[in-house]
Amino acid sequence: MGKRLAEFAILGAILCGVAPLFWLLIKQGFNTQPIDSSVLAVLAFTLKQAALSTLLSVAPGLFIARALTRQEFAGRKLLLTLFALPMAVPAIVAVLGTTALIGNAGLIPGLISPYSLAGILFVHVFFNLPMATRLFYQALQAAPPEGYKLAAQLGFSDIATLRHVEWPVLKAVLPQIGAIIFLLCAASFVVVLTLGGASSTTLEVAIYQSLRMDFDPPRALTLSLLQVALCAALIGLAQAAFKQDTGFTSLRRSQHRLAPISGIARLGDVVLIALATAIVLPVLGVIFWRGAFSLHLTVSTLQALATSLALGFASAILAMLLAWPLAKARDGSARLISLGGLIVPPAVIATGWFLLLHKLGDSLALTCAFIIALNCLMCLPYAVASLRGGQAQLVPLTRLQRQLGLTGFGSFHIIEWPLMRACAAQAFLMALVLSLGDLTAITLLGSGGIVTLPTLLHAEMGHYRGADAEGTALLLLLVCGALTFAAQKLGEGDA
Amino acid sequence: MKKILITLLATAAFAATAAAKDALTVYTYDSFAGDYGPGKAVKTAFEKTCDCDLNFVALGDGVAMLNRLKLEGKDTKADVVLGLDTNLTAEAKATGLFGKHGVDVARATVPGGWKDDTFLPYDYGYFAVVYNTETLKNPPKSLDELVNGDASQKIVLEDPRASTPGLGFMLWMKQVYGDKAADAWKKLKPRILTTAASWDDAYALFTKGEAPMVFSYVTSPAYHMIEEKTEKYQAANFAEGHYLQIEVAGLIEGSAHKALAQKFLDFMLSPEFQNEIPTTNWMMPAARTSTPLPPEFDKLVKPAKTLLYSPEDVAAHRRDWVDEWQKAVNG
Repeated sequence: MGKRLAEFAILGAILCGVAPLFWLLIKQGFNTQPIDSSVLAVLAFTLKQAALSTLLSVAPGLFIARALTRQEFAGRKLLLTLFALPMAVPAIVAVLGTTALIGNAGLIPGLISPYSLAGILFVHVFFNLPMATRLFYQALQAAPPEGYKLAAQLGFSDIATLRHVEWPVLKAVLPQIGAIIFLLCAASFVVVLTLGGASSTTLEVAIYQSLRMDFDPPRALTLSLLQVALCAALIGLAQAAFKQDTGFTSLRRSQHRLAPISGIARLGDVVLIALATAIVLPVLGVIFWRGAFSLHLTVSTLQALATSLALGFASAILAMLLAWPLAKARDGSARLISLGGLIVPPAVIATGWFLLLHKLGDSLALTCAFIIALNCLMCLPYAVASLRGGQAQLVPLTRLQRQLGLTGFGSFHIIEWPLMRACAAQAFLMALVLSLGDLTAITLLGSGGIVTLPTLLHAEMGHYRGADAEGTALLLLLVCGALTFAAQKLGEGDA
Repeated sequence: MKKILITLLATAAFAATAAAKDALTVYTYDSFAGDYGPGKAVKTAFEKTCDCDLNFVALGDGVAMLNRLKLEGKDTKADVVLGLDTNLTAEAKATGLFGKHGVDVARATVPGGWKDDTFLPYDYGYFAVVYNTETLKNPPKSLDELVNGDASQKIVLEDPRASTPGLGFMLWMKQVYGDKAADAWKKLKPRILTTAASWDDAYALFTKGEAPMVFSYVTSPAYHMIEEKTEKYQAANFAEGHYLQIEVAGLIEGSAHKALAQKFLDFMLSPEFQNEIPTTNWMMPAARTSTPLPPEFDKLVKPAKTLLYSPEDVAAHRRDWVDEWQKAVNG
């Protein structure tokens, strides 16, 4: 029931965005620029960089999460908290952080040129590797302790433990995580243009161009449909490749690993963790270091902070309400629909919404509602992926639930919540952090009256005030860090 | 008794209309209305003259504004649109939404004079290659020297599809090289560090030292001289002349506040408005100011020749020229 409602809400919102453009397309009689060979080149580049970015984020992320799960060391929690921060970093800030490291005037110039495909991949990995790691880490928390116990008793090798105990829970989230990262990188705009230059055009740039410069909404729609078809096909393939099975489950949560870990495996873990740290921390470090000199708390930064928090919380709460039933659903449609806000370009949705609803007026409340709705669509996939990590272990419990005759709130309170608490806190946090760093929804739908931290940052950059912008970026990161810390505490609390 | 009642009603009605002051809605770009832009001062000064409310609706940039108008059509809430440039005015006129401004154009002092009766300029600026004097000792003295110069000295450009200065540079290349523009782009390509999505991004890369040159405005050094007290960044004076950007405003024909809109456009060319332009919008005023420009403005490059396409030419060829640029830099 809840699932249907959530699906209808999301599909409805997306249809409201696409339908008015369809109407324009029909009205103008398909009289748009043809999709020619240049589009194919664009498509090829889009797929190439998105696939590489996904591979470089997901594969290491999976093993780094595993390493972080089984290696206890001081600073592990701090590292996981820091891994939540890149999501909130505005794209241009990450680009400038990267060039400060490996750019022409960087700390280590000449290592690899950031103005290349390698540079694009580096920034994409900076954004997505930590996110993937956190999501896999969370999924691994749901691996049943009995499984590890059994593995230890049977003397399973490292690989056998991975195969039989951990893989089932990792597999539950892998397609979703892969799809999110692929879609994010396919839609990457500022990173691709700034580092790739004019010769690297992604489909998103082409869509933006057709909406902005040529003002040709039908062409934007055609290109978007191409993107939707392609993404849906790829995601369908990914889902088919990772058939979900129901493992055994446990209500107990224990993180003690019983099987001894071989020396080689331990060394591998150390190398992986060091690698992740080496990719994520220097860029964050640069942002912290530069921002520290220009952190400023003026009335306008505090107002922007308050606005960001208000919009962020509203979007995250709405996203959680929709994500909860979708994460529980086991079918492909729920997965695909939850990704809708990433598959259909936000610029297209926003244009359609505007066409449909601008006659209602342009009150501040209505504008805020639109921004929250679009933000919600965009952070929904993360919330679903995050919740699914915990949901994997709920599935076998549905039988128990039925046997006990538990329904509604009773079942939620007794069975779901204790298991889902940590996941829910993380899912909410992800949605919140993403919304706090949002620049897409606010740029597309805002009208200047609403100033958030990211828009303030861009206003500062636009007025030669680069140093102030660095301070604002730091403030954004500090707030997200504090929220991540709070979410971790909240998730750990006794149920 | 009846008389008193009528008087009371009349007073009430009068009070009601007085309370609901006329409100003028002005579409503009973010950086005009934002904290650092001239918007606040302009609002205060204009409201003093009109007993009305001036409300800005800030929309990205000129292109975003024009697209918003096309989406809204006749239902637009705008009374005035401020922040288009001459690259967009032909397309803006074609929407049929704009009316005549009715202001004496002789007051506008932009290079080449002003004749348009639909749009009125409020500031202008020449584009320029801005360089870091500490890292670039021999700046190019012409566009041709930039195109054919040392490829190890890089420049950060903006994308003509996404950015106004980016479009400006593309038009500059086209005006100087004409049919040979594609070849010139190919020669320039090794010098381009990257093509950023916006001026903000490009300028940030430049000030962080990633490249010794960036495409910006002749007025950029004025900011650094006035606000940062440094002459480190200077604009290169190009022998072929400099491409010009004129920023304009116009009124919406169907506006319910057309008289007030006209009054605003008239105010726009007054010193109260123009005084704000140099040090908040960092552009040149388009009419007389009552206070002299800061002395730093005297040190800025004065282009020998003005390069500018007519709005109609830009509207007719922009798409082809962008395609040409794209093929040249991709090849």
